[in-house]
Amino acid sequence: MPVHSKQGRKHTKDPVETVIPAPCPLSPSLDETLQEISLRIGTSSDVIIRRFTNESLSSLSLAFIYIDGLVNADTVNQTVIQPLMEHVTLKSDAITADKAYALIKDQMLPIGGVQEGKTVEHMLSLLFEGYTLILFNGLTMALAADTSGYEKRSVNEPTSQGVIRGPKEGFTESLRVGTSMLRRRLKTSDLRIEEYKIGQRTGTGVALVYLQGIASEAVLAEIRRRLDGIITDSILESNYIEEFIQDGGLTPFPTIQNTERPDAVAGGLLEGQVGIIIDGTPFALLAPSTFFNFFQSSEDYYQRYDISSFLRLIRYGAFFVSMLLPALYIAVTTFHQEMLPTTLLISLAAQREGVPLPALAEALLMELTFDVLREAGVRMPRTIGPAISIVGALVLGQAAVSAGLVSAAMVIVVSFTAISNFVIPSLAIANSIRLIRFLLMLIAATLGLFGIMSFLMVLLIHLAGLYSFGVPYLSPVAPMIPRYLKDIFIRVPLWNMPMRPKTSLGKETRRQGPDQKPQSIEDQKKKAQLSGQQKKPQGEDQA
Amino acid sequence: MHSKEQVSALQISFMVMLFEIGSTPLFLLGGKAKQDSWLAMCAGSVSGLLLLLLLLWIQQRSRGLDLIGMLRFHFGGTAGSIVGWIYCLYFAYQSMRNVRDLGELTSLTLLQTTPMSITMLVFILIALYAIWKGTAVLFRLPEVLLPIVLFFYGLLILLLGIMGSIDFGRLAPVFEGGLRPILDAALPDIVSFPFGQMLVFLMLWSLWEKPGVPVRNTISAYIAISLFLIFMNALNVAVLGPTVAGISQLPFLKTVRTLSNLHFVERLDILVTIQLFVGLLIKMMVFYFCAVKGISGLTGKPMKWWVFPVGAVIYGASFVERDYSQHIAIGLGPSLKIDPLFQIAVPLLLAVSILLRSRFKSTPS
Repeated sequence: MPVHSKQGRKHTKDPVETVIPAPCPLSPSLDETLQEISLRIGTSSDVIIRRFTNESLSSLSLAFIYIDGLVNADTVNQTVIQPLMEHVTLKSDAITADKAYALIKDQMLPIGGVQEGKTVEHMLSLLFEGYTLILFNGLTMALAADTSGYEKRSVNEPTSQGVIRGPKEGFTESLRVGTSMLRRRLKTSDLRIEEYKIGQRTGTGVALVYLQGIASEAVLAEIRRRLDGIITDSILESNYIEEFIQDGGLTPFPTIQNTERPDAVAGGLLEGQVGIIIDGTPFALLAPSTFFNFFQSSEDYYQRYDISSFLRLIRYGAFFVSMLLPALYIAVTTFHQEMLPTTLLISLAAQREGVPLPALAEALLMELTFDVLREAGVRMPRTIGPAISIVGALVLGQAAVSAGLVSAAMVIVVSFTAISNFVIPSLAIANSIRLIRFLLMLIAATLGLFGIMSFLMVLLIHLAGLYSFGVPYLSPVAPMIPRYLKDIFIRVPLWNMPMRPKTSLGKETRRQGPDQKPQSIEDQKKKAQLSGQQKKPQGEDQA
Repeated sequence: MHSKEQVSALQISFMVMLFEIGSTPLFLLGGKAKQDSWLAMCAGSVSGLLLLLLLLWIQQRSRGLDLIGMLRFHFGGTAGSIVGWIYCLYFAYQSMRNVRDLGELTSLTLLQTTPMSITMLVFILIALYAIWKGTAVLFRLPEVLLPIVLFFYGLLILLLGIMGSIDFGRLAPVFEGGLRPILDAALPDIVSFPFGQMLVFLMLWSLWEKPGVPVRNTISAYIAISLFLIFMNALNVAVLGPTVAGISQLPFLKTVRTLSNLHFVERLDILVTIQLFVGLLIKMMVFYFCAVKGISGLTGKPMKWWVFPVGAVIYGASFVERDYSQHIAIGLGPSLKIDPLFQIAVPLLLAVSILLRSRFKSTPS
């Protein structure tokens, strides 16, 4: 290896080449162009190059290039190759390349998406999107016809965010399917979709989706700036984007939501959020997101408001249980036994009698065991599932207790903690407290309840200092905006929420007309009478 | 995007309320007036309101300045700076008292064996973290904490009501010794703590996002929280009776312990401890913050410069007192004596200076 001087290194400081080489124009000679292209893409077996010449071989020479598997073969054959080969004019000797180009472009391609290009790079990028290239001898221009059609998964029910009532379709890996699902839900000219290509090797399509006038311009500008700033090799999943654009600072909490549900994205857009759909993954992003967004499920709006409010309170409760329960158990059994009722204390003490481990070790052991089982449950082949669950249930429950390794109370604590963790609708925030839980357990074992309170206080200060694209993470609670609290801890009836409940909003803050409360026939009669009396005191006969 | 550290009127209201609650409901203030202690509280809060009006008036007349700025403006550069430094020390001292309070109370109720130096260090570090994060974050905390604190107080009051432990008959006879003992208890002790401590808002009002002073918010918050404190005072006496309430160290803890025959949770001490923790923390944080803000105003250095040194001083100072009895003795003795100086005398001087200045200004024109 040649020794690089320090100066030489400074010139190429980025590992990923940020310097884009000057685009290579198409050569007038078809052979040269083809040579250049095959030099660039090598001899891949899926690249199909098809030459076409007219009978006299003199005036016109064309080539089709497409990638097998990215195109729909029927489309290519029927709408590109067949018309060109059978067309009479193209077969005549008199035709020049110029004329053929214009003819093909304007009249012969029964396809919506036809693009022109002048550089090899442009043509190649179209080729990789499933276009069929048509190259002409003697011209520095080329045509590309959209013949893309690749195998994709059909629309299925979202697996990570199920609902009982509500739409059952989820995003698929295809970007276009995703945007179409949003278009179908939001039939308004305000729905804007801006497309980005991110990732130098993957060239992943990323669509920024928002509702003009509802999303805040400042937030949009910030998201665009951050998306433009991404220089990386690859974007394979939405988390790549998430990590590149989320607000700086170390935090275990997510500041961007992800969802598989198009209705959740549509709902977010209507409340002023901005959606980001990424090609190749069914998980779309929603930003800016506050802490409380992660506790809202789309089903909250598909059910009656009373039950939704109740469920939402349960979720917050479950959040705290999932974070605190093992720590509280440790603190109470280690430091503050006097807090328990005497009978419970005796029963607990009796259980812990034969357990060889201190409460902290017992709790850590069981929590880790559960996390192992959980991870196994995600990774294992489907067919082994039942075996694992039997082993898990037996190991975690019955056997560990009867072997005297852990106390029965500890099993209850761990199971309830685990179940509570699954109540939280967003996996992102549920995962963040999985880690915090361990920290809390250690603190509870050293400083008891005082430690737990202190840590919660630190957590609160941390959360109060977080921002998601300039929106305070704890808004609308801190800083408090009272009229936005209608959809945070409880959900009031839809007709009682005339304003959009977000702190990052554009101009259109009102979402429904006034007086949307449903009225019974009696109410209407009364109202009519009242207004009748007010308007015309002389009275009307039919009343 | 969020560099402007400004505070809304609502946040100031919440801060006033949580700051005033602090640890106050845990103690029986005005215990000297026996069953009339709640009347002493009334008298104290009314006098405190007058003081608050004075402070608001001063702030109104010196737009955009905090206490340090006012002192320097009215007393001249050198004298003002000296008084300013003394004020910063005073704030740090008050902060230290809260730290020590918490250390003592924690070792009394929660962690008997853990050394106080550790609990106090944790406490200081929490406050330090919040102040390091900046004004905006500091003022967001009450918005989350106040509802929680009030909820727990409400829960305890509800439980006490259900258990039938509240007997307002214990408050009779009203005015047993006439007005005299009530006023004796109220002035100046109750005025100094907690109502006179509203003085710190001279450091905080200027952070309001709008020009001027949030007069309506401050006063309504003050009145609401005064009523709450008076009620809590009466509640303690109504549950325990004047004698027991008067002699116990933490009457509210005792009040709550009467709930032990609920047979659900043997002792609800934990709720009281949470109240105490939150109340003391906020109070201590505000004093700490004022000290830091004051010194940064005096030295012209950014606040982050002084967060650590001031924290270290407060932490170190919290060890000076030998034990709890000395802590209490100083708190009830010399400390109460100098409070009026800071809370009343200097503001009065400022007010006089403002009056004189406005007169001098108006006569030549």
